[in-house]
Amino acid sequence: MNKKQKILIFIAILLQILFLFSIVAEKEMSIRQGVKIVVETVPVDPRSLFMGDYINLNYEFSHIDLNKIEHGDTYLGKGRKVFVRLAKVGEDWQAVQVDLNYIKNAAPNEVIIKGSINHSSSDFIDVVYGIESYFVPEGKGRYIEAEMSAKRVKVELSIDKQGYASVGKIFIDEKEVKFR
Amino acid sequence: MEDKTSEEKIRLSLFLANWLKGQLDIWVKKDILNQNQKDSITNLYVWPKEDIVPLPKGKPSTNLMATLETIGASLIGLGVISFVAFNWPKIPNFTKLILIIAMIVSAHLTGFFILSHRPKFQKAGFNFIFLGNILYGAGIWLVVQMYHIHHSFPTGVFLWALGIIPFAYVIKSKLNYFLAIALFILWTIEESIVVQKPHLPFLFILLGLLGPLSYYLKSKVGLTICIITGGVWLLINNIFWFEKDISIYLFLPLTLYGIILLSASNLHLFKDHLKEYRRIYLYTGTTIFSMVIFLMPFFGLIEIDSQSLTLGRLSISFWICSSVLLIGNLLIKTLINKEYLDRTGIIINKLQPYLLASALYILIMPKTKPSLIPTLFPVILVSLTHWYFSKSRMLFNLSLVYFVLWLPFCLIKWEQPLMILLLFLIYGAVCFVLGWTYISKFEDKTSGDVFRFFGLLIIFISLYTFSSNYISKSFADYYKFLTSFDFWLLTFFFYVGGLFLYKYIVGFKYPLQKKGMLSEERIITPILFIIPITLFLIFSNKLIGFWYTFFINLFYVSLLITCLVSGYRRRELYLKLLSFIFLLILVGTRYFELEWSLLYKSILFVFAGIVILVVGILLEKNKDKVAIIE
Repeated sequence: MNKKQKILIFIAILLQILFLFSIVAEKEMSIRQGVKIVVETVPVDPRSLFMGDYINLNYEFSHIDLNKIEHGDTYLGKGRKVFVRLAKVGEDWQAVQVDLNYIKNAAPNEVIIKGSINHSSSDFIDVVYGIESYFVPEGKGRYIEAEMSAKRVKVELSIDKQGYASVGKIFIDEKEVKFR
Repeated sequence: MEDKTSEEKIRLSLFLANWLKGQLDIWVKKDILNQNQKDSITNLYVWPKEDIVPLPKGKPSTNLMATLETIGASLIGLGVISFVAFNWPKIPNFTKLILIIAMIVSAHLTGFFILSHRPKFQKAGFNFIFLGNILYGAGIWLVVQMYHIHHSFPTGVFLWALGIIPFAYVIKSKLNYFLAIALFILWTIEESIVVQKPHLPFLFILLGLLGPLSYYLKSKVGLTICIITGGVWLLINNIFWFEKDISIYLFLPLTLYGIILLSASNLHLFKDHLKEYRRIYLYTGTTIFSMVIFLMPFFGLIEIDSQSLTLGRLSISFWICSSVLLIGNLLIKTLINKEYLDRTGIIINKLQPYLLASALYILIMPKTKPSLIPTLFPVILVSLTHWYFSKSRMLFNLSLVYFVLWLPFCLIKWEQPLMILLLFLIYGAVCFVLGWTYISKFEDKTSGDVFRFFGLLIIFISLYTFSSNYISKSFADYYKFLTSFDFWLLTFFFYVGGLFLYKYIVGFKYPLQKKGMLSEERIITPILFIIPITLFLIFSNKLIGFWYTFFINLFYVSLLITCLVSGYRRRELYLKLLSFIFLLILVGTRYFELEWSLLYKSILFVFAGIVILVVGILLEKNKDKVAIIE
């Protein structure tokens, strides 16, 4: 191996570590600087090949009725990136506007969240925000699934200025769930 | 004697070259020929570039050691990924992350150290870096898990693949390059599933990065995978253009893609350094084109929504894609300088209009359902024109195997898949024996290999179905004795035919004959005929349970390992690849069925991986002492 190859190998190793920490840094920044909101969810328990068991989180603002919100005349087709304005109504957060561009006029009790359209029809759109999974130790998902039938499950979300959201804590009947 | 130019010389296959070289040596030894006459005869032929002298006994197969080390490294990597997936709350996430980073760096540095300072263990060096790259993936999934990023995270797969490419480039490691290709494919599949739309960035990665890298690494396997992936990408994106409607029109771009590959094979004749890649385009083009026209008749059997059969439903993207491929085909034809073409090139050039006609026939094909006969027209057209121009029985043999495969579907109703599969098992065994007959009686290795390959393929697919406990139970539940006279007559003919052919190969033994049957092949051949009868008795008596699953899987694994070993002993790539792929599929399927905790799976994988890796390294260390398989 010549000197150039040796240097390139070290650059390649550093690149892998850099890629790993770029995801960590992006998420840490998003969580630390973001606005925290707590939303209600309905979990289901599947398994991923690489990441193990997780609970699938469904939010009320994932399925949006276009007749009830502002959305302009823009075409909201499958796969498009959208910004959704969420407003706090009582205890719940509800979608009040959808736009292809960042929505600037958010009120203090509102947040802007970024997602992409997973399914669309003339009246409804389904939006994915990247906050639909909560990873749990093997076998614990079934416990939460059993608990949720009678109790309310809530999730703390952190949404940064660009609209990227991250999942924080999970609560069952207002109590934080911790795994041991 | 006048020297012939390379265009006039006859190209010898590896088999013939081996034989002729041996014979020439004997003739010189017996004073039938002198050295000059031997040289003149030698000069009449184009000899294959591969080493035609068999390896001396005692020299080890480094491929076998590399494969063992790769399996070991993969298992360790899988074990760590399973451990991440177990998500053990007793270890804090950041501790896990630091541990994984330490493991990534250690694996890479070990590999780097071995490559720099221990050239004897070069394969082990590549495999340690390969392990480091799998661990890097485990690191990404750990971060995704820590921050509860969406379970479908294509960007993670993309970063994984991208992080491997520099290693593949710097150390020229094909193994790491293959891992990167596999991950890029996974990435485009995930992206397409998430967005539910054609994923164009992959096309740029394929044409701009993976394709050129395969030429740089001189990786023919890599280039083959890239070309096949291009075809699969085209098919998947076509499905999206049809908005998931199944339509026979799906085949048009894929057929044109197959033809363009065949034409591109001729382009590789213009430059000497590209000639070695020519066969890849030839084989993949032939495979893709043949697969499409052979699959078409299945569409003649199924009911398709009549809406999806109208030309008006086709999207602009479909027409653009098909037009680009068609124009590309015509453009290559005009670019080709006929002076450079060899015999195969001339045949392709002559066949091209007929291939295009059979592709465009899809647009005007009668679509009354079910319509088997009109869909067979391209197969017949191409088989006949190929035979006319080449006088080769290759495609004819392939069509023969294919047409016989239709018989069970004509004799047995779809509700009796058990009997169809049993008939396929017998037919696969007959094809396998027929292949050996071609080699032993007619010394036609090409035809023999076609039959052996398809025979084993049919057997492996059928046995895979039988190896599943769930499917076997449902077969047993719905079992009814088949009273069809035609079915039993065909079964009888298959068995009689098999026994009749067996007499040609019974004395065809290695090393008595150089290409004779190895001892393990002589053992498995009769077993292949016994297995369908045994399975029939098991299913008719409904003896499906734990022991059935255990023994059928044990037999299947033994058969695959036997074929793998025999592939190594014969240095037959297709046999090695076929057995290895099915072995991977089988192990993968059983892994997911195994209801063990991820923690136990993880420990098992890491332990087994370390043992196999160490065995591989020890073999590599003692490679000059090990007695081998040749």
